This record gives sequence, C-alpha cells and structure tokens, in this order.
Amino acid sequence: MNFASAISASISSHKRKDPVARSTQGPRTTAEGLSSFHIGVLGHIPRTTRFSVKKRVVAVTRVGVFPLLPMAYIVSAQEAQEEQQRVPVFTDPIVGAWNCTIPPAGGAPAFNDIENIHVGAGPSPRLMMQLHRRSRALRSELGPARGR
Amino acid sequence: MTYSQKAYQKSWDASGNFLGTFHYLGPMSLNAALNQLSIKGTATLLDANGNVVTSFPFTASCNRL
Repeated sequence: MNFASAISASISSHKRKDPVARSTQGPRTTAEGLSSFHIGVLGHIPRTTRFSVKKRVVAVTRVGVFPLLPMAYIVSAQEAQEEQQRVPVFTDPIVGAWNCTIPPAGGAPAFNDIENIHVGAGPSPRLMMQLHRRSRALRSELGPARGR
Repeated sequence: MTYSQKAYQKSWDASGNFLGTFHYLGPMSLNAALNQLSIKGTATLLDANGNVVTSFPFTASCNRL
C-alpha cells in the first residue's frame, strides 16, 4: 500500500464511522472529504456532534503524520547515499605543467616561462588554533624546562 | 573555464640586488580541450618598501606540456 492509498483509506474509514460526515451530505470524493474534515476540526460543526471532534483530530493527525514520516526517511536515506558518493576533489583541470609565452610588456623583453600549477589546501585556521592550544597545554603540563 | 590569478614574483637583478615583487592580477581562461591557457591582467612591481615602481598590462599564452 503506498502513501496516497494509505491516506485515502484512513479518510474513508473515518468517514464511515463519522455520523457528521453522513448527515452533512457533503461531497463524497476523497479530496472534498478531506476539506470537510478540516472544517470539522476548525469547529464549524453542530454543537451536538462535539464528541466526534477528538476522533477528527486523531484522524487528521494520522493523515498528516503518515505521509510525512516515510518521506523524511526516504529523503534522509537519499542524502546519506549522496553523502557517501560525494568524494572530495583534490585536482583541477588547470593543474599541470605549462609552457607560457609572454610577449614584451612594460619595457621587459618577451620570454618563455615554464609554470607548474598545483592545487591543494592547508589545515583550517580552526584546526591550527586547536593544535596551538594543545601544544601550549602540553608545554605547560611538562613545565618550562621540559617543554622547550 | 575561467580562473582568477593573483600571483607574486620576487625579482633580483643580475648582481643579486632585490628589485621588488611583481604582483600579477587578472583572469586566466582554459580552453575546452584543457590544453591551452590564456592569461591577461596587470603586472605591478613594488619595491622592498612597498612603493609602486611600475605597472603595465600583460598577456601570456600557455600550452600544456
């Protein structure tokens, strides 16, 4: 049973038990039935049928929660899979050795230059700060003579 | 594919005297075949005290080795 059929089944079973739904002669389709549910929950129902409001709240809650929970699981599962497939890239098309010709400019003659272009990254400032603090703590723990 | 270049180059004369630092600033474009690079921008030479000695536009074309 998929989510949509679960929702419509929940609504239709509630409609069968609900005397208000029968007495109001409201629409019979599922979509319109759902709107009459909301009207009931909002309080636009006769005073004599107030006992059914609790049932309506429970039913609407079920209708609202059922489709949301599985979708959340599916989305989180997809995100986890994408996270696993997301591999850090440590290269770039520009990386490599280049023979560059520089024409005369600014009074300098033309010349050729071999450029080696790299990509990379150093540790983050946060990590450096943590390492610095750890090192300082270790030095103070060892004492001035042994820390040097 | 376009990159942005911000490069520094320290320079000395033939006698080993420090001339200053060249600052190169400008875009670099890589062709679709990823084997040619076009560079253009401004080259600015600053002396040891940080004063601008000269500044001029430059171009360069590179082939992948």
